[in-house]
Amino acid sequence: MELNPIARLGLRYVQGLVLRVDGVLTDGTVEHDYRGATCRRYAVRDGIGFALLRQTGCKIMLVAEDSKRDIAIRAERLLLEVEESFYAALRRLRLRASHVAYIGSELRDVKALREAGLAVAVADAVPAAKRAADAVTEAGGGGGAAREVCEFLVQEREPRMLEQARTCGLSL
Amino acid sequence: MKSADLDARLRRIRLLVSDVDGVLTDGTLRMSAEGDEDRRYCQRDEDGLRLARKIMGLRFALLSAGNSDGLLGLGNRLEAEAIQVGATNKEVAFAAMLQSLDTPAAETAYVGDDLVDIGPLRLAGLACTVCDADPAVLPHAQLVTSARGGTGVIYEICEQLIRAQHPEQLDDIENGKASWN
Repeated sequence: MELNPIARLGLRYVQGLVLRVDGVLTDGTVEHDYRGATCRRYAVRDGIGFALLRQTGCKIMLVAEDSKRDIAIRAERLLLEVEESFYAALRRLRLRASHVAYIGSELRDVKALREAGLAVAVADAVPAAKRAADAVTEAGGGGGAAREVCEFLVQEREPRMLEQARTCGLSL
Repeated sequence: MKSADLDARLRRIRLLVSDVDGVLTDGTLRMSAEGDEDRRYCQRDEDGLRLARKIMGLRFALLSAGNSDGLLGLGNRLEAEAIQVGATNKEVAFAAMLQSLDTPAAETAYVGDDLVDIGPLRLAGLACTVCDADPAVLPHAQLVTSARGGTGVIYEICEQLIRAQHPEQLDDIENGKASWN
């Protein structure tokens, strides 16, 4: 994940990470089982990224417009909370848009990407989301994109912590 | 060309301890509306374990940071001697597991793919990981499988162990002189 020098200036104010579930934590697909209930597929490695980032004191919040039960349960396992919009997440975190990083993938993410202190689009985001972003991840949605951003933020905030985890391991 | 060090390590192994997500699976899980976690496993791994158990009496255990009923079901299906789930500190959990299974670390192989696995990898007599592991894990492993997570990683490790310890039996099966089961 490459960052231009101007975006790097905004990075020092980042105290929180807000990200969308569909398209970022997942590849954007939803499975409907035979009863019509929804299921989503997640990358386990993203959870380790959240654990690392949380240890630096950074706040994290998920965004899902219509919070389905399966999303709520995944969020609970990750020890995260879900809000219905970027703005609701900011209110909950008591942070300004310029003080959070946002990860998105769709047209509906463009406004939040424009306002966030650090805007990141996933590798398989729509072109408009990539244009609005300061950086684009190498991984796609549901394939470790959130982990990539978490490690990037940890590297900026506590580089020695990441080094320690890579040499000696990590406990959750 | 296999190094003499790796060969010596392979020959000592009596117990294989495996992580689940990213090793036995491709690292993804499906969350249902009831909170059940569905995982996709590779049938070939079960075959590898059965063969290694039969030929060299390999012992097997699971160690996961995750916590769901599906993991216990998998452990039973793979006839794991020990199934430790919800291990927030895998280094401590691995050491405790070796003690309860009464097996020295030098005779134990561990396979894992992420930062949480580095602790047990550093303790194990043979440290294994997958080719699509987190890049930070690779330097800690003596054996990196050519299989990606969820595509026969355990099978590949079992095959290496059998080849190091009982090559003639593997040859017989490969040449059709002996039956596989």
